[in-house]
Parts: sequence; structure tokens; C-alpha cells
Amino acid sequence: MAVIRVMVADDHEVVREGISGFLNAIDDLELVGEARDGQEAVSLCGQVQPDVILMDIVMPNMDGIEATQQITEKYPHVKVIILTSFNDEDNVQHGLQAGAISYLLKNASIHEMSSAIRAAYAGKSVLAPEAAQTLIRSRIRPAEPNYNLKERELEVLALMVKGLNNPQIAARLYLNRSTVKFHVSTILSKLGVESRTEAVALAVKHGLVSDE
Amino acid sequence: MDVPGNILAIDDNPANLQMLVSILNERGHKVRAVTSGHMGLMAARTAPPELILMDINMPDVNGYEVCRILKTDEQLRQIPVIFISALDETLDKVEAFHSGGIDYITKPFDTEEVIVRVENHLNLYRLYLQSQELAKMEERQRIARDLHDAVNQTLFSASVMAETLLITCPDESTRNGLRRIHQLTQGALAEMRTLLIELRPEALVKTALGDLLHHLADMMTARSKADVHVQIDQSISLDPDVKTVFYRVAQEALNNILKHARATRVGIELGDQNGEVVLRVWDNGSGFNPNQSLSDHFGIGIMVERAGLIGASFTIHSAENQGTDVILAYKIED
Repeated sequence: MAVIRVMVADDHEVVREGISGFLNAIDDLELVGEARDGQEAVSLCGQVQPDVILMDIVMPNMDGIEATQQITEKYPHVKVIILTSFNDEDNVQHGLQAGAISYLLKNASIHEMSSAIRAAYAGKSVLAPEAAQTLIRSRIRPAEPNYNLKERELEVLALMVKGLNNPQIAARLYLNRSTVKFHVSTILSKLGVESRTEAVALAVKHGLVSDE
Repeated sequence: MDVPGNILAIDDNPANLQMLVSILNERGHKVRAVTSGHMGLMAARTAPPELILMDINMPDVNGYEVCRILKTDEQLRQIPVIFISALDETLDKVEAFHSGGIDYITKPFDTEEVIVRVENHLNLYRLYLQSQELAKMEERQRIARDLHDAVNQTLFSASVMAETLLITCPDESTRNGLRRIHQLTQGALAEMRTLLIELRPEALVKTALGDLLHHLADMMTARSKADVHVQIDQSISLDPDVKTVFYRVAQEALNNILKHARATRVGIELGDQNGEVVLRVWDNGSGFNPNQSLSDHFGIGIMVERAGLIGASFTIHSAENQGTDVILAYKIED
């Protein structure tokens, strides 16, 4: 029986604890290393040469997507499975583009995780059903149109998406209220919509503004 | 200015006060006028103004001193103070700023100048307060999100640990306990997903309605002992305003089932029928008599109102001990 050598990268100690416990209890899986962030993951991978890595996304110093990119470039025989709480388009797409072979969510059962590890070892991809849905939905979406928004307008739009009203946007950007009103109406006109809510929806739908 | 300012003027000379009051009243601002530093401090403490116009030479206590005292008061130190005085020497201006004032106007003053300086500083002060509020709100949200994330990670791990123990544990009653723990942690994870919608307003816009309804279904499975049947057309995509109403109606209907129905079977259905998107939430629980006006009791009024906002039709069928059926239908234009 081939023993699969598994490394885990996650900034939460409690998660590493749970995962190492489950790997220890399963005969054909062996825990060979734990990393607390993307940087450690890359260097530990070099030292330990695992077969499969369970990689969290949100970590300090270097995130899981960047680490996946580096690892799949430097050590192409190592398979990376992303294991995260997040199921949004950006993370799923970038994770897979960076070279991850599989994408699992942190509601997966032990059975699902061990099957995915064995599948990855055999070169087969596994997507959590919710992640597959997210991916399908993003593929069906037509190409992003270009609205020609200037940087300041994008700043205002980003705050509109966060739910701030005009006076709050003015406070944030150190503008006066009539300037903000002017930007908002330019934005509505460039996006071809009649209301603020439509503008926000369009922005989110086409990913016009980045998160945070 | 849209909103009239709330101004306090302190000057021992009533004629000066009169002039200031009339200039600013003309602009729509509300001005309280007092003739001494002590009265000024009392007036400020009783009802903090948005701006203080302060004379310097006053018999009981001079303007610099009053300003210094204001700046030591936690409640009042942020209020902008504009000094008004006849003394026009560099030394005095420095003293004015040193004591905490933010501007200085010399007598005899120009009406226009008083107005623009006052209104500029009022605007700045209001922006500053808003900015503070915003920062506090963002800080609270950030803390809430961090907490939410930390709890999610712990729940996931606890779930994994319970399952791990099931692998090696032979004793059946312990195994039952472990299965229960696993179920509880999965339920809590489901509830955390719905909590995220409340913490991040963007999440509601970003997440597909099908996913949102699945989260609610997971929450129901976790919290009730009922069998939850889900039939959701994942391809349905709605405008955010409409999506929000569908989500909130489903949420309200399910909360009612949890609180009142004692149901053993619950269904959530979302489909496309004859050009209408239809949401159906049904249960086989205790129902209620629709002829009795219990609409507020079951949040029905809220659901009707929300449906009305988007022009959707809302119907509710129920009879005592025969379950309840909530239907929301929205016509989609081609």
C-alpha cells in the first residue's frame, strides 16, 4: 500500500491540529510537515518534498494562491489541494489558474478530504460541488465590457459597493458632497444605469471593483 | 449650507454679539449668545455646539483660558473655536492657536469673511465627525469578521476531530455521541454562513440566490429535527433588489417554521414557471388560521411589504394542523 506524504499549510493552529489528527488516523496517509503561511509552505515543500499539499488561501506573509503558483512552478510533481472557507469566483479561478489540482471547502468530511488526496496523488482533479457551481456560473457569464471609468470614479464606485452613502463617501475621500454627487452621476451615465443599486449590481457582477 | 449650524458665541460686548447673531441668523444658523467665559463653558457643557466664536478680552476669564479649559474636556475638546478680537499682533495669534483655537478673525470684521470662515469650519467639523463614525463602524465590522472567521476554523476542526475519533472508537454509545457532535458542528458551520450575509452586505449581492437558499436549508437541517427538501433551479439569476426580497422572505418564512410550526418536513423550492420566478416554502406543521389577524405575529406584514416593493405577488395558504405554504412569485420581463 503506497503511503501518500501530505503537508498542510494553514495559519490557524486549530485547523492544523484537526488535520494532522485525521492524517495520523488513516493508514495510507502520512503527515510530513506543517506550515503556518505561504512562505513557510514554499520552503518546507523544498525540504520535505511531499506528494500532496493541503493549502489554505488566506494566510499572512504570502497567501495560498501565491504559494501554489510558486510550488507548482518549482516542484511540478507536487500536487496542491486548496482547502479554504471561501467559495467566491476570484478565489476559485485564481486558485486553479495558479496550478492547484483540486479545490475543497472547509465543510468537507474526512472521507471527502482523503478521497481528494488519493485522487490528487493519481493526478485526478476534485472540485467541491459548491466550487464547481461557482466556476460554471463564472464561465457562463459573458465577457467583461469596458466602461471607461477613471480612477477616482472607481474609488467612488468601490465605496458605493460597500454601502456608503454620499456624505460618507465624501468623508472617506476628503471630497465635498457636490463633487461626490457629480462623480456618482457620471458613473451612472457611463454604466448606462438609472439607479445607485443598479450601478452596484453591475460593479459586482462584472468585478469592476476589487474587494477590500 | 443644507443643515443649519449650531453655534455658540461668547463675547462680553452685547453689541458685538448682536452683530454676529444677526449675520449668522441671516444664513439660517442657530446662534446662542453669552456674555462671559463662565457662561460660555456652562452653555457648551449643557448642549455642545458645532462651533464656538470666542472673544479674547473678557473681564472674568479671557478667551485663551476658556479655550484651554474646553480642550481639557473630553466631550468638548473637538469643537472648533474661532477667536474674534481687536488685537492684531503676531504674538496674540500665536497664543490663540496655542490655546487650541483653529482660526482667528479680527475686529472690525467683514460680514462675508465671518460667514465663509464659520461655514468652512462647520463643514470640516462635520466631515471629521462622520469620518470618525465611519472608522468606528469599520473597526467593529473588521472585528466581527475576524471573529467569524476564527469560529469557522474552530468548527471545521472540531468536526474533523469528531470524525477522526469515529475511525478508531469501538464503543457504540460513544460513537453516537461523536456523530451528534459532528452533526452539531456542521450545523453551526451552516449558521455561520448565514451570519456572514448579515456581516457583509456585499455578500448578499455577490452570492447566487440558489446558494443563499441552500445556506438557509443547511441552517434548517441543523436547527430543527425536520427533513428538509430542497428543489432549487441554480440557473436563476435575479437583480439584487429582487434577490434580497426573495432571500428575506425565505428567511422569515423559515424562522416562523422554526419558532412555531413544530414541523417534521420542510420544503424550499425555487423555479421558473410561465415567465415567473417562484419561491415556495412549505411545511407540514401546526399551521395557523388565516382568518385571525396574526399577521404581525408571523412577520407576514413584513413579507407582504417586501413583496410589494418589487411588485411581486405574495400568497400564504395555511390551516390549523395542516401546515403552511408560502409562495412568492415575480414576473420577469423579457
